[in-house]
Amino acid sequence: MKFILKRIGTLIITLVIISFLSFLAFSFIPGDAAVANLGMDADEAAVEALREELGLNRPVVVQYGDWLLSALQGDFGESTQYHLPVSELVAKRLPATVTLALYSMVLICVISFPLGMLGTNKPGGAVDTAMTVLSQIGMAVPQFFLGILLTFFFGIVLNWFTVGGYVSPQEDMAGFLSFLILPAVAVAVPKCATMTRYIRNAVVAQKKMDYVRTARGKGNSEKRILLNHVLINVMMPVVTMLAMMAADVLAGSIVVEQVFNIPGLGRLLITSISNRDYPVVQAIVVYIASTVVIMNTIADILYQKLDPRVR
Amino acid sequence: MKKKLNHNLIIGYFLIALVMLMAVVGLFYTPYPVNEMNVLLKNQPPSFAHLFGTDQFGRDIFSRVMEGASTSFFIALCVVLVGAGIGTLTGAITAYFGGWLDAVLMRVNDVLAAFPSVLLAICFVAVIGPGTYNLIVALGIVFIPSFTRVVRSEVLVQKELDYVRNAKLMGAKNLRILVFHILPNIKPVLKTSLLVGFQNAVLSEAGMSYLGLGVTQPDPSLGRMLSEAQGFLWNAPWYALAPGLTILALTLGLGLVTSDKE
Amino acid sequence: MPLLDIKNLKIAFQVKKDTDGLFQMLGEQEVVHGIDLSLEKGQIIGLVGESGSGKSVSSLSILKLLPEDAKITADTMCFDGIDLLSQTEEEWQTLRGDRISMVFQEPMTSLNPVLTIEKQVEEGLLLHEEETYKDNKELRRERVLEVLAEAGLSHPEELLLKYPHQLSGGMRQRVMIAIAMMNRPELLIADEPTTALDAATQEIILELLKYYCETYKTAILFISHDLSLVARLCDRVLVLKNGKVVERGTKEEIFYRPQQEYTRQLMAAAKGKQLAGESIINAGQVGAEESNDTPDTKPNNTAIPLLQLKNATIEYREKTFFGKEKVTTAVKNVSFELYKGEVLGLVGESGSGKSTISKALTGLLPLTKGELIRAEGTEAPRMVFQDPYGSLNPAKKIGWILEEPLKIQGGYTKEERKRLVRAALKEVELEEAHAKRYVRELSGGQRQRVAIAAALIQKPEIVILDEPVSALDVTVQGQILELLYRLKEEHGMSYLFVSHDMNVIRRVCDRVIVLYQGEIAETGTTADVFERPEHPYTKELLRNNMDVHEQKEKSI
Repeated sequence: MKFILKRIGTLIITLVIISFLSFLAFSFIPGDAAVANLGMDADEAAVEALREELGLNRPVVVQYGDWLLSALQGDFGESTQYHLPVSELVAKRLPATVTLALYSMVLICVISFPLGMLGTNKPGGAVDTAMTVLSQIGMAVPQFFLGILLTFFFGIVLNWFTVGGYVSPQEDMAGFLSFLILPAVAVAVPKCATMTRYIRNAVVAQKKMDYVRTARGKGNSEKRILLNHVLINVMMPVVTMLAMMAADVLAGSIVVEQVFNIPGLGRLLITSISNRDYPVVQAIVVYIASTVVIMNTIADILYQKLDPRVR
Repeated sequence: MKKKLNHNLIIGYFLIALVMLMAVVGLFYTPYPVNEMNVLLKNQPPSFAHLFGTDQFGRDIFSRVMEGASTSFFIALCVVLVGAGIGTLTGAITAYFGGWLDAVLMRVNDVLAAFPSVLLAICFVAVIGPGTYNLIVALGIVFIPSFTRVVRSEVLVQKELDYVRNAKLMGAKNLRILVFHILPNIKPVLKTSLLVGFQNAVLSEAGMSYLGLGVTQPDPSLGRMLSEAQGFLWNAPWYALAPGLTILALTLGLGLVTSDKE
Repeated sequence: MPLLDIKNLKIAFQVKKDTDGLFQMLGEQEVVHGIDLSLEKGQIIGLVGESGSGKSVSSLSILKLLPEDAKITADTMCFDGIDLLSQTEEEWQTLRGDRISMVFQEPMTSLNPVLTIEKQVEEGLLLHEEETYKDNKELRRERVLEVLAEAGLSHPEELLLKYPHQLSGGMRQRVMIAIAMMNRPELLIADEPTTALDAATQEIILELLKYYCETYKTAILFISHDLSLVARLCDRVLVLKNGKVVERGTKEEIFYRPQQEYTRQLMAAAKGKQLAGESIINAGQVGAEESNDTPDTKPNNTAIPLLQLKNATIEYREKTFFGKEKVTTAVKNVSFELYKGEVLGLVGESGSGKSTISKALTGLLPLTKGELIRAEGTEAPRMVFQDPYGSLNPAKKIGWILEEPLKIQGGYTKEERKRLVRAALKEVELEEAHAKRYVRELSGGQRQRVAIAAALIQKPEIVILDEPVSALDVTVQGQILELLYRLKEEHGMSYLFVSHDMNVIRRVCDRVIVLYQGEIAETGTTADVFERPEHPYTKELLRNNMDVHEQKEKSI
């Protein structure tokens, strides 16, 4: 319990530091909100007046405190490109990204474990070698290229789905979910490959441990050794790794949204960057950073709970 | 003694060499000028004249892939050099000397290392803007923490070993111990993380350019070619295949060589 | 018919030569070259040998617990009439843990770190007596408690839900033995079961094994590098060297009439010098020197010491998370002198502060209180470490390692350095060609020779030897001690010899300091301390280390 409290304490400090750093970074960009609102060739005095009005002339720390206070109440300012509250924009784009990421995580969990254990009975054997090659290809393929290949094959050759035919969950839940399957595969495959490889190496390493020899000496079959002795030892690092992977999956989702034309957080981020819509960029950056840091904290706590040696 | 060929390594080296050859030759010679447009030769399928076909402006895709490969190679190399250079330096120094600097740097490092590289690079580019050199800076910074972490943990182990103590007894100065005694011992680990880093850098560069946050017009880049090609999947699927498979060949080659070193 | 009958056992491993290139070289290396072994019901046989003698590999082959790439062949390999060589995997599973069991050296790693003790102990029941125990948790628990109690664990019910890391080393090994004895096997193979334990616990484990043998007529194959342990437990003894049996016989035959030189060396190592008719070190050298020197080793009080430690206290400070400081005192108020030409022994168990003192003497660790005085013109001492593999840079060639101290010192031309390196190699009886090798390409003894050459190349006056032979096999130990003695005589150096091994200390030191919990318990000439120990701790050390002879007498 004390450990968890301590971990949550560090989490909050880290979040504050990250949000402050990102705030600081954006405050250095030439062309602030005032310029963005009035256009590049606006009158100098008008810009200055707007700055005054928006409070951009105050010290950064004060501005940050202001921003943090309103952010905590769910107010992230107003988008300069859509002239809508940022929180509203983000809330609208969130479901697609979160669903995509969750989909991918489920795929990773379901696929990696059986594949990772496949062939570990005989390291270097035919099955193991085939798995090695497959996971190497999986790790090497860029997610967006995989997305394009999937689009081409399933959308154009087989015509199983409409390319770019995203529907929002409000319109058609089933259509929304089925459309997201292929993007989820594109996000998940490289991560699955990494995970499979990781599990495979962990199993092979564990099987060389003395306790496996003891288990064999008791008369265990290889299958029992794998399931009753090795798996639980492999589980702990793997669970932490899975939690950390959530951040990777989020990053992958952002890229893959672009490929499949899904109006999620990623697309919003990219368009906001090109349109210099900094309140939106900042909110999304803080949102993503928080997710990453929170997932890491969860990973730490999980590990602490699972392993009797550090418990 | 029997000889057993190491297939993974052979294929890995072959793939890397292939893309490297394209990249290096692409610096000096391409079959066609990369930006030469020809309306008559729009979206041609692969032929002897145009090995990978032509794009929507009738430009030779093979030539563009060659030059794109050079760009990717150049960027990935710079990124890894920046990341590994600064990462090794900070990792070695903080680990060897310890103290509060070490503690502070490691906190920052841990937070940064937790972020996927593309995400962090997007954040940086959001601030400093896209472009080849900005991309190198952004990715370079993003790649520092992983090298710092690897080098630091290795130096922490090595500095407690008796051979370092022995060197101190001989009267060797800290810098000499770090450079001549410890560094040679972390070379194997560093080599592996350089390969892994290079693979990540290639993937990140392609991803960033695909998103339009990396290499800008008119320089050809494999990632950006893919994003252009996506609009022509119906009438010119080979357009997407050429740059995609080139990236895949390079990253797969690097992956195979790395896995052999594990 | 014997319970276990093995004739002409050969074991080969596949070796991979790492070429670091596009292909690998594959070959085979035989490590056991035709061993015969037979064991009757209720008999205890000892398998003795140094590391690399093939004793562990042979014992693992009986249960086929070797890695996949091991090739086992034999003319006969039978257990109770069952041909072990033709067993299928399923048949093995019914044999292992039921009729033949095994106990390993390292109980910590041999137990699953994340399963409770109960889970690990009861597994033997679930595997071999499934019908009786599968659905009856009470009966299972009852039986688990019974075997744990039998293995000498006094409150077994408290252990059930614990994990291995929460137990002491001795308790873990008892749990291992309980697991092995769960189904009352006919044969128990014990592979160095006491090596990782301290002397007192060793004794208890031996008694336990004896108990099982007498109660259940369990045959035991006991593997050890330590002849004295084997002597106390076994009826018959096999001595292994380089994968061959060099000598076999009853324990009386092996102890009183050893036929082979090698057996005698092992004996000498186990017994200490007072028993060995001939010392490992040539009697003409250290022996003679010692007998001459003993009367006047108490150094002349007028002589100026080379090195003097005055009232030294050393503390380790650790900062905890909240800035509180945790202070551990490793050395308390220690004073001594080291004189020219003498060998001063620093003896004590781990944690006694001897390593801390040796580090402080080299200047690697500051004194918290007290003074360290070096005679004028004397340089900081050089050091030879316990593990030559760790103390020599693994990424560099031997030539570079030996040249480095000269480069740091400066003032030599390249030719001079090369010449000195060649001379140093010759001095420690290595070839010039060794300069081009890496540390990993040398044997343990050769590595320690290189470490000695590196320490001596700058011609120091004082050398600190930190357990210089404890990582080596006994036969090599003798050679290294002999070399150290010769070099000391030739160069007139002084040694501070740090060791936990009373036998080695007795063989080489003029004076001894016994350390106990960071303080000097006793000090005096070697003869005084060994013959007339005063401090109870010294007596205990001597009992644990030396009285193999008496214990052997008792047990035979």
